[in-house]
Amino acid sequence: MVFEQRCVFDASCDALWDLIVKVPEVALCIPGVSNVAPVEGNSFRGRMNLSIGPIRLGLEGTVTIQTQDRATWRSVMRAEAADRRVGGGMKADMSMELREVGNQQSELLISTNLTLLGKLGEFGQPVIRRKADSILQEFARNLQSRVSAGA
Amino acid sequence: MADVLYQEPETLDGVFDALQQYGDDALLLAGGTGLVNLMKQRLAQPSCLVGLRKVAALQGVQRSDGDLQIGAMVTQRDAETSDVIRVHSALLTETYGRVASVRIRNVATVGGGLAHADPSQDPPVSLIALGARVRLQSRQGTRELPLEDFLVDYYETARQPGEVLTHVIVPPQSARSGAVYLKYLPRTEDDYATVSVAALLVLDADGVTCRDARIALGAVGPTILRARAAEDMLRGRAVTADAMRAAAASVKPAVDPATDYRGSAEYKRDMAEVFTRRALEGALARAQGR
Repeated sequence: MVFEQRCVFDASCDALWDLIVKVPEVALCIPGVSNVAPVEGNSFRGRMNLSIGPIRLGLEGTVTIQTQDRATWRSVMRAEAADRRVGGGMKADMSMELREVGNQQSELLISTNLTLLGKLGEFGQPVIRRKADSILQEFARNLQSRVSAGA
Repeated sequence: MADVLYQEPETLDGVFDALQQYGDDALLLAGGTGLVNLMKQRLAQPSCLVGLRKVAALQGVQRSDGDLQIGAMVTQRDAETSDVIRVHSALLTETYGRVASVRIRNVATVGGGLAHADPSQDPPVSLIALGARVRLQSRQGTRELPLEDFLVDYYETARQPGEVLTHVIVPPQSARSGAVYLKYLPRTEDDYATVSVAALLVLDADGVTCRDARIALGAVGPTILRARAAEDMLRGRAVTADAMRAAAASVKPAVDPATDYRGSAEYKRDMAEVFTRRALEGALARAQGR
């Protein structure tokens, strides 16, 4: 399933790009994400906790940056994570693209192609889709706050 | 399943104590037909379960100031066979009779089902059409809110930490009113609905003009949906075949179903329109005593 989100920031593409490329920092804008650390090359590992009513998921995995092109303001990455306790996981191909929309304003386009595996897939795509959507929205809000704070 | 501490208090104070002691690690267990399935799949792994079956304050069905009051731990089978409920609302009797199978209904509870907040369940659809409220109690006090506000999202409710859903309250049905619950089951009789609709129509003294309409749909979104646009199209107007058809058509773009093995999103949208029209026709017939 594919999610697309866009949001406008009161910041230049330059300023926003400088923040987006710092993976351990920008990852903290994603609700539930912790323990993000570099592993090798362009890969980072981390943990993401999700709760949906009584359901608790703890996804552990890696994010690998495949492309980071400042000239086109485009970053592509792949995330793979699993909850070993539940017996399910996810794979996500994600791209983030910036474009100038006005004076000191830029738009961030996030496109995510998410595949759920094992029990997570059985559990219900609509449930996960809904949650992923709200996570992306909160991520955008948190990123806005960091940009506004000049982080 | 992993080991879990099980507590079974006999009073609401005992439940509040357990919730305070274990915080987020404690889950309330009513009938268990929803939660235990999640635990078997390890999707939910509480360290403490607080069983509610011995709490007398959560039992019983009674009328109070014209309202029907159902204790959260009343089983769905007892709700289906309760004379008090049948006299107050034949729709509820019918709806509880449509839930899964008798074996499930003997265990599943009225309050537990609502707290589970699965949008495919039957009772919340009819309860919302009937204008039901839920009562929540904590150490801080008691509050009531409309059921449609209680159901927030997939498996998520407005229940706050430390609160217990104690009762479901159903207002009396007006004179010259009719209500119907329809559940579309193309697979098996005990399946969750592909689409479900409950419609309540209240007519003016002329027996034709709609004084009030409430329409709720299940299994077509993250929670039970109120078809408010359709209701607005009916209120104050003659309930003709054309009016019902137009109101039902307004449901189609308002629902948000997901594609699954019960049907594609597009098919469910079509069926939401069809079953809303049929539910309205049935509710009108009942309101007119036909």
